[in-house]
Amino acid sequence: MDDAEARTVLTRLWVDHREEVVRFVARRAEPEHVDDVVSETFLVAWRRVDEVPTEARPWLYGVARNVLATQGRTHGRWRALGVRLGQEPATASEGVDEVVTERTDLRRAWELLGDADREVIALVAWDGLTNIEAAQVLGCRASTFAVRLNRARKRLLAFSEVPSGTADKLRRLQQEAP
Amino acid sequence: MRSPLMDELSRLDPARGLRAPGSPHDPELAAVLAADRRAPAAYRPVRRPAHPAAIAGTVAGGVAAVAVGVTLTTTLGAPTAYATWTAVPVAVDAADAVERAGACPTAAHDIAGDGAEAEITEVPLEPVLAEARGDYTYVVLAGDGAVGDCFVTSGGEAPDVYSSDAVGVEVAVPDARGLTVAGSGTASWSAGDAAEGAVTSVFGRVGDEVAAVTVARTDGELVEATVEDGWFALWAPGESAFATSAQVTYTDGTVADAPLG
Repeated sequence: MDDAEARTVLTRLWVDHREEVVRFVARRAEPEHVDDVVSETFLVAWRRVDEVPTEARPWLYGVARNVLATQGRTHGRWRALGVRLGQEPATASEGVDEVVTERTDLRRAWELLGDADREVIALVAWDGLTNIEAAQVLGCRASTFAVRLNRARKRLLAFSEVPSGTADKLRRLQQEAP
Repeated sequence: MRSPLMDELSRLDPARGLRAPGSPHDPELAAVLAADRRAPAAYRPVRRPAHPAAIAGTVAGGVAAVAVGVTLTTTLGAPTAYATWTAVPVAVDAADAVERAGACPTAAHDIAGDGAEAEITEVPLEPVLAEARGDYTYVVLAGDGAVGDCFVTSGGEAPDVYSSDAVGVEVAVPDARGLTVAGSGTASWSAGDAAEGAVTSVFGRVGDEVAAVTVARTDGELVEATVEDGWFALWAPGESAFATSAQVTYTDGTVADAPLG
């Protein structure tokens, strides 16, 4: 691919997918790192523009995930994500007590999930990927991803039904674990 | 199919309201397009054998080394030289080892085929050894038919992490006084301004009666390996290959040379 064609392809990728990649990264990184990770992701795309598939979104997410992982922020990012999740206010139009209670349970359950479970759930619930696309991001078989997602969902559901006092104790134990 | 649970969770998406549309006129895009497209990609530096003959010898010696798709990933940091490296490693206790290995990959990937038809197999990896030399931590990873290694700087909140893995590798367990190399070579991530320089490493398995392993660099400096739970590992800055044999000290106090391969 010559330079002019490569510029056209990269520009199209940027216009079509920048917002999605920014959101993907923002869910996983501290705000001050988002722009750097996004730029690095598209720099990789620029240098590997011949390899970018037609369905570019999972490929770009996979690159962004790699950039995030190799920056060694794996642990801090999910902890930060949990904090931000907990601060998310319920919208006024949904201010029914029951809904608020259920969402609080879900936040608490999310905080009890392990990193791997959060990742597979986030790829579907937040990044909007199909199982096949999410598997491409993680570099595993779609069937493997489906199993992992199913298990993660079950754990999320189970944790959401844990009484709040027990959940707090579990969370403290997790934080104290080496 | 999305479940009500997932729909409910989607409402808690921290990036749900984030708007960041891309424009052909964005300065960030211009900066990417201004980069040299053919410059070595920082994520795919080459790992090359330090002494190919030794690796070939390893295969002949019982390691079914089918190093498929060895990859090396790194970041675009600008680390300094390995000034704090020591020829003698610092012992890392189990809890510390778990923490230090936390930034390392948890799986190796075997990719067969190309494009949409590619078949990707994920092989879980577990840390089997961690050692520290100065500000640097080196972790050996192993899984079912896969091995890997991981190099972590102590760069504060965002350490640089370099890792490589190979799928299709069955590392033979040596006899009580044996030594088997599972991985050996120079990992270079010295491309561009982010140059930190290469490191050369060797890791593998040792028998129950092996107490210590020492290897000479080609410049004569002796490097002491970490030996732990049947694994050994050592690394040194630069592309200087290690000698083709290691000095092995056994639990009975005797010493012998063993081929590094």
